[in-house]
Amino acid sequence: MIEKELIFKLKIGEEPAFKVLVETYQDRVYSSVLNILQNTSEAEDAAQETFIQIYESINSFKGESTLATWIYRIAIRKALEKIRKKKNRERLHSILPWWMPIEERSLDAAYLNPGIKSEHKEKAKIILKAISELPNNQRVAFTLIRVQGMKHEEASEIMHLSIKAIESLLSRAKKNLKNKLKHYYKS
Amino acid sequence: MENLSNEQFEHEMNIISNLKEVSAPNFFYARLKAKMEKEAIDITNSYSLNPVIIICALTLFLFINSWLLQTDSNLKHTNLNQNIEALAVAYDQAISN
Repeated sequence: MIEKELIFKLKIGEEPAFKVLVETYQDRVYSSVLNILQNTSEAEDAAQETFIQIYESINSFKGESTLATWIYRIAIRKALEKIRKKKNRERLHSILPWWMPIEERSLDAAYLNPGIKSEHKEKAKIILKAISELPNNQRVAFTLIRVQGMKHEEASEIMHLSIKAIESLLSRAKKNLKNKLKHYYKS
Repeated sequence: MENLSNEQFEHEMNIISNLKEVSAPNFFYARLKAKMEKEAIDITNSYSLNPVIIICALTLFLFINSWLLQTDSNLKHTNLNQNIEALAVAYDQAISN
């Protein structure tokens, strides 16, 4: 099914078209949010919320970007929402521990992509933890480009930023990561 | 920063670079549909329990109640006045008789 036809069918509410959309993009969406969140259950939640949002707001899709870019944008927004909610929950938990228990799953061990070699797993955990401590924009830009291997142009479209802004975010992310990782390499 | 050169940094970053795409969990679509259906049911159910709706309903109930009480007391007051006037008229007539 070509993209225009798929969008048209989605706009008129055809259920099989939605199934085709989910099956086409589920791996890309899940993989992207998983790279940002580093937690499988949160990533599944975020991916599901992405498709629910797509289903509800497909009529607002004007075709100014490709469908894939639009979907990526929603997915990243959902992943960032998860991060924000998690931070708020943790903040509230530190103030009122008896009122706001931390969800068990947020204490899960960090997820590691199966592509990471076993001898590098310990180092990868430290690097991924350092990435997760970066400011959100730097974290997303670094993950999209370095971890997922996207081109700068693609990342700039998804993040609604110029290529220069993306390069600047990457360079600041590298600087911050070096700073964070130097403590590890000292020890 | 002098402890981590650019080359070393790039070398370390290669560990997590260009990672392969991970497949979504099994039955992703089925679970998504179940979640969408559950959310639709929750929205329908939560409509009647929405705090805004409850507060509005209570306010309306109180307003109607106070209006009814006010109307009732005005009615009683008018009736009482009429009764006194009727009594006065009857009494006046009785004296003159």
